[in-house]
Amino acid sequence: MTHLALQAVTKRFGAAHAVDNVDLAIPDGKLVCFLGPSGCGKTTLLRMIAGLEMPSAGSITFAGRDITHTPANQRDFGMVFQSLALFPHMTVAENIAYPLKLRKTPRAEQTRRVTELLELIQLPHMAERPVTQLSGGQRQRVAIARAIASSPKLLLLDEPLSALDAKLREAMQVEIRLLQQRLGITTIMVTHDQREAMTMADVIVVMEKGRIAQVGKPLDIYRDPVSEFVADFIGLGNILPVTCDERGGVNLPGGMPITVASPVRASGAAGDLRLLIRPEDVHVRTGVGAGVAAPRANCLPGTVTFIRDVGASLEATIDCAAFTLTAATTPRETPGLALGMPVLAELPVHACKLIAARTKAAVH
Amino acid sequence: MSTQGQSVSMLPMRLPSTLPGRLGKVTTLLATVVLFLAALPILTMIAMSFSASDTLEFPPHAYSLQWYRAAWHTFVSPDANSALSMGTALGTSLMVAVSTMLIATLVSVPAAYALSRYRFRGKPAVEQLVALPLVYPLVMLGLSLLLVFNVLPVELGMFRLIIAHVILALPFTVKNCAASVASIGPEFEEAACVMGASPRRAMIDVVLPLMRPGILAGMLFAFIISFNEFTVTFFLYSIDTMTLPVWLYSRTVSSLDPTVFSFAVFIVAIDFALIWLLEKLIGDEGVAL
Repeated sequence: MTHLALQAVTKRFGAAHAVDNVDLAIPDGKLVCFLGPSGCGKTTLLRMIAGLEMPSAGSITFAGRDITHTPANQRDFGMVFQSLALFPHMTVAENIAYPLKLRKTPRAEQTRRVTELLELIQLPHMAERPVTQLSGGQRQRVAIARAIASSPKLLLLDEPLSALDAKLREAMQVEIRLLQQRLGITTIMVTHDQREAMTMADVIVVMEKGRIAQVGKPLDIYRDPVSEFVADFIGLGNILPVTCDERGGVNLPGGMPITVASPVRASGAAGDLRLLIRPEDVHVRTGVGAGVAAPRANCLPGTVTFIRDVGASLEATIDCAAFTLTAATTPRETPGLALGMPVLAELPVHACKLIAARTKAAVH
Repeated sequence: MSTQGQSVSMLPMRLPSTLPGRLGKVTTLLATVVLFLAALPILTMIAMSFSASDTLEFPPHAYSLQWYRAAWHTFVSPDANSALSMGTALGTSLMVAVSTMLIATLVSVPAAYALSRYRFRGKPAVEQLVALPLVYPLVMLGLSLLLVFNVLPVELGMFRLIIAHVILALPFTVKNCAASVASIGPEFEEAACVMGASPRRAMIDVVLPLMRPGILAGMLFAFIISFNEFTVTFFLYSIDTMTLPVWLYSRTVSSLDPTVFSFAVFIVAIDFALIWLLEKLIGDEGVAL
């Protein structure tokens, strides 16, 4: 059963549609990521769920109850803001106890809960510190503790990690994810960082221009994106314009035929198509002479023009005359790979996906 | 040739050390002149208050505490020809200043909140009106208020002064409060609301405590403005509601002796104490009221 459901939720700011006709069901106990570039409406959607913005149209139901117009203070959700919004005039304990104080929890119970939460976020003995004296990561944890203090049914996170440096950010991603799984709390997180979404989410909702572009498990979206936009936004990808001939064959730029796994997606057969192949699916074969003919299908001759070798992984740019490919491998798998070397790039059939090209004009 | 080329290439390296130095000298000179001019009245006043002369001779040829003694006598036992003692005037001034401070603050906090958080019809007009007393000729303001108050059917008494002072203090209180609201950011209230606070509760628990520096600054500004106000008060006071500056002036007119300077030193000391308090309260966030 799904607790939170959005039906045709729309938010207009003047003539602009910040969120346009969004239908979505949030499964219980999962971590759902709203992912998209800035201005795609993900934060507005989260704020409507929190009750901080009212939808222009559509409805939001929670546990079978219509909460579309319920004020934020009666929804009983927890939220962590991008700026954290910890109250600077209160101590750590006062901040965490604030939602309990509002619920008139007995003082002893408040103290017990604050101690318990401080243990949970691994900041015991910090209760009496002013929040202004905490480090970035500590403030982050206090904000989360405060958001879950009253045991809300839903936790909302609005880009909560954006203020942290890269290393701390990665550590906090794991920490939040483990905490979420331990508490089993339904969580919605907004982020523009696809890596963060892939790390943390059970379900990713990719948004584009106020609409949902795709909903699915992180790997499903990565492996099988529905559009060029999603393919481009999630992970790195070689996206090549392709043409279809009348016999149903697919040709790469330069006229080279290529065999693909999926047939053209039902809808956009007539529209512009793109071939997607992820860099790690491109196999680089070395030890071939210049100008050798491709021994089998989907093998493209090319020249290595750039190598990014960072030790653990290796990324090679291969110039195939009409287009370039990026291949991801490891230094161990491709020893002796050098600039200017002629190689064969093999594109396994199962990894070649046809997707619809990005539409140029805006939807509205 | 080569030395010239060298000096040209050296120039960018020299610029930072020489130019600011020269600028620094000019700045120091200007600052000294301005600060001297700013301090001149106070220095004169202090020098005169210690004068041993019976007249307003400047600079005094000898120094004594006689005018402080005279001032103290006036304060504790007003002479018969003085219609009003300084103590009464001081009491009136304090009453008016405290009332002005409280009323101006009570009006400014919600006004500043509305001005910096909401869009509404006539907002620019309200902003202009609040700032208007800053550019209004004070004599005209006093005269206008006098005309209006005189046609009112009720006798306002001290409230004539309080109303006038609130008008004069509002630009400062609203500005200080608005700056503090603007620095808070709406997410603090939103956070409180999501946690279950009603908008009123969020205001009391979060917004007001965070506005504290601005509110305190506004309060002290209001107090100081009211306590020192002369021009407008001069039009509106009555014999029962004479404030300290007006009392000082009337004394200067009736009997020109350096006693007034002794009083003035006392008033300036109060002002300085308040300004010191202001900086103490706002400069150091750790101080709790």
